[in-house]
Amino acid sequence: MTALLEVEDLTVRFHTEAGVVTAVDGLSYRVEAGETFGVVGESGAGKSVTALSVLGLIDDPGRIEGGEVRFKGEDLLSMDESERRSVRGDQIGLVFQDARAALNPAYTVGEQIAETIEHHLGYDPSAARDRAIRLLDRVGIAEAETRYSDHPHEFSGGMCQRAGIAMALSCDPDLVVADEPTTALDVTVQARVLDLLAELADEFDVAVQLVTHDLGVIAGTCDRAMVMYAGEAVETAPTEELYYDPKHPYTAGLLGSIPRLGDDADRLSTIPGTPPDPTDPPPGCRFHPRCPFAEEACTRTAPALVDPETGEPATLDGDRAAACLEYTQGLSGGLEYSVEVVDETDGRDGGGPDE
Amino acid sequence: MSDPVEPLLRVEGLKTHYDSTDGFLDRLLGRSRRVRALDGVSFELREGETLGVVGESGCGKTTLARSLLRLIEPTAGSVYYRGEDLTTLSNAELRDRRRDLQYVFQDPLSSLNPRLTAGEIVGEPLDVHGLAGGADRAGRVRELLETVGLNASHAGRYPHEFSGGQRQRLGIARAIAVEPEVIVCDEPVSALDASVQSQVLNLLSDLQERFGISYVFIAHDLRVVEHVSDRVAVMYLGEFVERGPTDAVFRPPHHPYTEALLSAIPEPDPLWDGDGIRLAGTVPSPIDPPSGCRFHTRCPRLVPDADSDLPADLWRSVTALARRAANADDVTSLTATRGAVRAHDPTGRADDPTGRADDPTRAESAARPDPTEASRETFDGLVREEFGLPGTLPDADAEEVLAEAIDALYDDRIGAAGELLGSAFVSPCERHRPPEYAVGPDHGIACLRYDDGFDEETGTLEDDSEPAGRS
Repeated sequence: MTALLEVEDLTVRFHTEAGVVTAVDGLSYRVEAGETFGVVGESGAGKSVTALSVLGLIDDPGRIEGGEVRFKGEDLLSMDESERRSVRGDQIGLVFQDARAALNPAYTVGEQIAETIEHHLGYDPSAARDRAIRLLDRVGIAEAETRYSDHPHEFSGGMCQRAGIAMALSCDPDLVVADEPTTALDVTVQARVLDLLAELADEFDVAVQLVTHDLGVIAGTCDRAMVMYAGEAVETAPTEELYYDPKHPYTAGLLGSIPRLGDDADRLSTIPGTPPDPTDPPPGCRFHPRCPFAEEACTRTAPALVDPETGEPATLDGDRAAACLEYTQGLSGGLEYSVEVVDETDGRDGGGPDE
Repeated sequence: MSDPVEPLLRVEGLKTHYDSTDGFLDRLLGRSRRVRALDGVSFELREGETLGVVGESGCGKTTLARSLLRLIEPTAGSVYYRGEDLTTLSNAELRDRRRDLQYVFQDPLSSLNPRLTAGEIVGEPLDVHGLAGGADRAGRVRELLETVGLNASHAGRYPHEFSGGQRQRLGIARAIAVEPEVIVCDEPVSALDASVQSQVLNLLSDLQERFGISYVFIAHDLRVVEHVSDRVAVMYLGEFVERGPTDAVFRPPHHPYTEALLSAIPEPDPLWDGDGIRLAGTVPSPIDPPSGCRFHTRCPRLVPDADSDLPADLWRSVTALARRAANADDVTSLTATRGAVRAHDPTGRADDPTGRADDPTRAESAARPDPTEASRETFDGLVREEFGLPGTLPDADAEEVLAEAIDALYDDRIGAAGELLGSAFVSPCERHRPPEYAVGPDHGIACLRYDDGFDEETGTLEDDSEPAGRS
């Protein structure tokens, strides 16, 4: 069975003056119809480039240099621009981090949504307007009919993001790619926008690829998630397993470095160092210079993405995958970390490497 | 550790108002608009402790940070540093004081001079305050860089050659160069990735331990604030709504705003299910802040009028209608927008892009009922639907007012409806500015629910006279 979206062996490079940056390196993943799939990582991990590649929005000096992006079984990368544009408009919606910048300041918010509906669904202007108003109302914009005629600068940040979501859903897509949709918002607004996204994904039966740097956001919204580091997937798992049983030391490190409410530790556990220079990634496992469990082998051999139970190469339809030598040849010291679930009443867990 | 007589920093009634009078015409007509960004904040910072300040954007956190060290001149109030009022000092005196009071900014890149090397940036405060010269200076710069975890051999590099986390370390090195007593940190880690953020937080806590520095730590992230702070102040629209020791603030009882902020934190735990409290809207404009308790327009625990027999949630829904009516331009915005949104619904489909408006049967099923043309009964239903009100309110008096208001709306007299509801449904929170009530040692909450006259059982304020409380 083919999934809604299948990305296979995607490689994207940016040819810059400072050198060639391999932003995404041989990345494979799938998004099933109707599911919410999270992509998480630090800045420079390649999350946004991945999202843009799906939509064919990589511009010079970036180039998609290999791999396939299959949407409903058809390779988007081998389509010409006009075919791709029609898939993008009709079946894939996009939500940006900076929603205000994504809206045209010279037109009213409502007009922009109505225009998309007219263009892609062939509605007449009054029906498009009607649908745009209903969408604005549905995404929680009070007084939708009045606000239809407002310009983007008259909307607050949270309202712009709601309008962005309305726009992404306006043509009834099967997939919405949301790139850091709540990063610029206050925590109270973020919570409401995430609630809305989850509700609408369900109501519209649409799959969401949610890109974020915040593991907290993934936990509350996603069915499955992929952790990226320096352009590669280091772990893919159903959300619960990712948090309660992380298989990659980077995932465990990230979980441990988030301050938790009710945690009395004076110091946070950290991942030492910083993400590598993208023009010159370290040899072997890219995470080895920061990994507390790295051994000599890690500096030489790049670990393959494998099923951590069997050590067999990961497949597109597998549910769990991790890229650590521990699961192929075994590390002599093993991976010594554990996840503790602290305090039942709080229901919060603490993860991360033991110290 | 703390001096019972005089804390390190004592802030009293600090206010900072901006003038946002817009151009020549406003001035000519004598219109002035005051943005009350910071409106009467008081707190103490004790030696060696960290005071966290949290709140949403637009609540005045950064204005507070900048007013403390007079990067922005406060309008009123005092900031006492070891008993000396900083707001009365001359500029020269203030510059001397800045040896003791330093600042770390949110965006390390824009707060570091791009034309200076790391060594020059860290050395500059040494020169300004005449702290070290010659060989001493070079040695001190190396020492400072190493103290914050930077490689001393990188002293010749420029800010853009460092990563975000390293730049923030550089900003911290510059701040500690003069061996300050207090550092005001304004969102010092919010621009950093999670793994780097924890490194910088650990650095700040190491420096505190080593040099006994006190921090005023301003951030929007409650997780970070809880981790670093000894005491916490929660800020809303230029005021503190709750303050106290960290443990106390993060455990009930809460100010309803604190409770909502806590509920909104995305916990990195898939099985965690928050309390689900969601605040409507955004922080109102500080030009004309709401009367009484400034949070009352968004408060999920708004105290109902004691005379009303309506259940609290219905009562709050009616006040939501009253508020919207007071600000609405036309009635369509007060009615539910009916109709499915899915494009696949048979009525909204584009099979027949022409003539839909002319076809009466289609128009009837497809179009949203136009509230201005609906019957009185349909209109009534649409208004109640929008605000989640039942067909008849369980309190006869309240129902009478509501029906009258809906009549007024139906006649397009929105202002009249707003006034009618506004005067019939008044929360004590709207009338009284809540003083800070002591709920525990060193723990205060500015909310009428903590007044002695508040009845937990009925959820109303019994004695609706001016609330007492400690202030």
